[in-house]
Amino acid sequence: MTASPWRLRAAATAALAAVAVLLALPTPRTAAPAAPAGPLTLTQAWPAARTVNLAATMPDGSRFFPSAVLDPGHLVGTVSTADGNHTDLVELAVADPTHPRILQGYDTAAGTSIDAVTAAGGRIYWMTSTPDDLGRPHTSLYRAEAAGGQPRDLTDDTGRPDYYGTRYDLQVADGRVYWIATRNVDPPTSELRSIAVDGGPVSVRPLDSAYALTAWPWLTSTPPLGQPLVQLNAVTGERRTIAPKPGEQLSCSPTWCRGTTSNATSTVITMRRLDGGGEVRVNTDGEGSATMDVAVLDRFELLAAPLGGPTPTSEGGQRATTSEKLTVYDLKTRRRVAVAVATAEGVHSPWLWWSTGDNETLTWHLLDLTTLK
Amino acid sequence: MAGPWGVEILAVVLVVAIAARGWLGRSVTSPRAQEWVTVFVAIVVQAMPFVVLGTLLSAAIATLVPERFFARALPKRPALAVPLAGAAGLALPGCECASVPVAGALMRRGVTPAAALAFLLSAPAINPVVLAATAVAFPGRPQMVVGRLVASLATSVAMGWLWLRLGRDDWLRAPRRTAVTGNRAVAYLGAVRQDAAEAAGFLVIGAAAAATLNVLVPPRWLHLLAAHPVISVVALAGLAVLLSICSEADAFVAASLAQFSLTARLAFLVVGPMVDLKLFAMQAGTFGRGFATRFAPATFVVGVALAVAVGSLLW
Amino acid sequence: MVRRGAAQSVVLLLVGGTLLKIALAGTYVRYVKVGLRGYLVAAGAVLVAVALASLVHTLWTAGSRRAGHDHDVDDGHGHSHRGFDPSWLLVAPALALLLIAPPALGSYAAARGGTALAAGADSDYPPLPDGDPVRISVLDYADRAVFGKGHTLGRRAVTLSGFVMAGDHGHRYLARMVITCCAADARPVKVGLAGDLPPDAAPDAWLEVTGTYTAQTDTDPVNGQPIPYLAVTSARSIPAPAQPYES
Repeated sequence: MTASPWRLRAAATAALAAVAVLLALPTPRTAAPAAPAGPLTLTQAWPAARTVNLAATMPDGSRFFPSAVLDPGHLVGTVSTADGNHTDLVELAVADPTHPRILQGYDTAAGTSIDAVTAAGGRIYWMTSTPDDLGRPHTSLYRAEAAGGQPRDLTDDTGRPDYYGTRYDLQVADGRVYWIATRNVDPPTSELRSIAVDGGPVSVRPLDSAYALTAWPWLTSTPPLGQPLVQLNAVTGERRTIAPKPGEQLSCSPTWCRGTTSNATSTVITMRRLDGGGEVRVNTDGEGSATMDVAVLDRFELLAAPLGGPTPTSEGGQRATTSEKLTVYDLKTRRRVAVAVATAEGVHSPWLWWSTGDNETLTWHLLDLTTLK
Repeated sequence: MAGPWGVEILAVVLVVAIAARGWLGRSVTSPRAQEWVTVFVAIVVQAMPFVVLGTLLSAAIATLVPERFFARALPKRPALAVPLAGAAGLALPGCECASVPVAGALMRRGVTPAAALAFLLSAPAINPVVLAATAVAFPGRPQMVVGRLVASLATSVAMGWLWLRLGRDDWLRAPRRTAVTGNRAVAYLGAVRQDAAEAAGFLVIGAAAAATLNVLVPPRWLHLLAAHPVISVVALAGLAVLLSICSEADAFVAASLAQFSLTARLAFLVVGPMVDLKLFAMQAGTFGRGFATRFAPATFVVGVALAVAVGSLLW
Repeated sequence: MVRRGAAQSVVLLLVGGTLLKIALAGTYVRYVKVGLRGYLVAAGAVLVAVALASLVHTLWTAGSRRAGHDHDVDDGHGHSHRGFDPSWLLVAPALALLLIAPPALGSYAAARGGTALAAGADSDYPPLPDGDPVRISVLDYADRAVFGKGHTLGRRAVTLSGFVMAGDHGHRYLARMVITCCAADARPVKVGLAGDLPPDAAPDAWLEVTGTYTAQTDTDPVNGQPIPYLAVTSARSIPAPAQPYES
């Protein structure tokens, strides 16, 4: 038992050194639990993502649908009664959604509709069309201060407005409100109309062909399948033509183009810059574009795939409503991120929203795309 | 393991652990394995301050207190010394981990085993910290505190007397008495080192067993057991054994087991600090396996019986 | 015996050092209550001091010609020299803490445990503190919602933080583990998130949710206790907090 002292000392020294090393090692990062199977989800991809959630159903059974976002706490949208006969355009505080401020109310049954809503600089602008006795629509442009007060009728001189379902349909830039109206049906030509945000005469600028508004100051044509796309700078008059690939339907923002090619069995959506660079397929089979907007924030393509069969509801039951799997394709990092299973969705850059749930539990989720960092 | 090559082997083990650290870190990824490791180290970490306190006390009793002190302080008749030692448990605020080495040291210093055992059982169950925790966990139910105090004290005294009547010294690996020679400080140091290392080592066995049961037993089962009045009492007492929760915490766990009757929960509180997996391992280490295999089941039965008796008087 | 003493000293040094490290680095909160820090530091310091003093003494006496019996206190404890020395087992938790550093209990443990409310507690709650939204614990919200029937919550906006736990039928809960002593007694407290929110948060992701009281509840399948709901108005991901448990 009496080992030589030097050997004991050597062993003890070695053991002490090992203890010292063990204690000095950095604390290991906690091994993450085995990653759940499936695609990358929103919070995994962007932990700082900010969503705002809002119950869609009011106490009286009427439903809220977002149209635009004033700020993360305030939305503009419509509230429709359960029977669908009456709709109010409202401004609503997320913290107190059951007491909306009514901007304008109208009878849906009489054919009135609100066609375009936008918010800029603390003001809300919208187009309301009402049929006259002969059933011809008459459209007026209104403005309201987000802070309160009576809405103002900016003009009835709106022409025959065209809407393409993007946030640019009614666009505020350089102190004016812009929209596109139909000038001639055959051959189709448009006119660019605008009015100062505080009212005044409406300026009408005839255009050589049919255009839609995209991010100011650009107008973009909406060519048929296989035809080139033309973009026109409304300020400088610069014009550029983008050629499609064979069999491709083009739609472009001022920076990106979306090319859609369909055959009998599948649709392929590719994205490329205007100069043709950075081309990438973004969709999977069965997935289509979720919005008309091309490359929101010059970065995000929104895709939706319909889900077959009923989906579970929050009550544990099933519902028959169709729902879609909503995916964001990030053009910057070239990855797909699953966002939600949604029953409806919309975009008003930089916000993306979608709904989940059914009748009583219908909820809007609004995602600030600028927080996807 | 601890033969003449002890330090050498230890050095090799530690160096291998350093070399394999990457593999070790990656090996525990399933949520169940992670939960096991978390609960395992949590029990050890939680108990260590109490083990250290207990061994500082027990080493002091073993080496610093004059040999005849306890023999004089306690009544000569063991039958009287037992309840006094049991009541003395009111004074030592510590976990059950601390009381095992202290009880061992008391025996070494000439205290009759029956009295030391009564102290062993009562100290963790009825010390002021535990009673206060019980009062907090059961607001508006002071009967629970009273019930715990009475039933625990009765159980510890009953076990002491039972040992006097039935116990045989050869079951107990009676720690040899030593005459301390040489430097008292050196003797104290050696005693602390040895008590701490061994008590904590047995704690590790208990922690591993408790973590295993914690992770394996589906809590859903408890819900089913709670429905039956007799089974629920035995089930909760058994759960106390398996979970090995420290006595300062068990009242809160009992409070959360709301589907069980108050009597069943009292049994949980009485048995838990006296019999559980880590205590069993520590008792087997300190007093011998022959002792632990007899003493722990007997304590369990007596504890459950007295908890039911007290419970039937209170509710 | 000298050699066993040396090995024990090294083990105690490892354990004491580990306790000091987790206490000072703050990772101890994954396992035990925040308030235990001082005790862990004290225990670790005592163990390190005892181990070092004991080791120095052992090596010094081993070096001297007098090595032998008069310093062998261990003999006095009457343990068999050849017996199994349990102190070796302490290497396991020390290495687990240093090399694995297991995480705080999360959604796996929460799903296995029944929601733990302060059952039977008095339903007399003080008014919520000031703040809009007011930040309260998951446990406080659950107690006020279930036992206080939401009276003290009213229409106030409250902010809770916890981790996501997936339930049956796609329900999502915000959960927090509550500990009294250590992770071995951890019990989950669960609050349902009304409106399937947040839509994509994976289990174990930490969220800060703001919302208002709703009378909706469901029943914990584990223990049959009620689980209150929160009507969520906003949610954001947050990093795991420094103190993972509520108490």
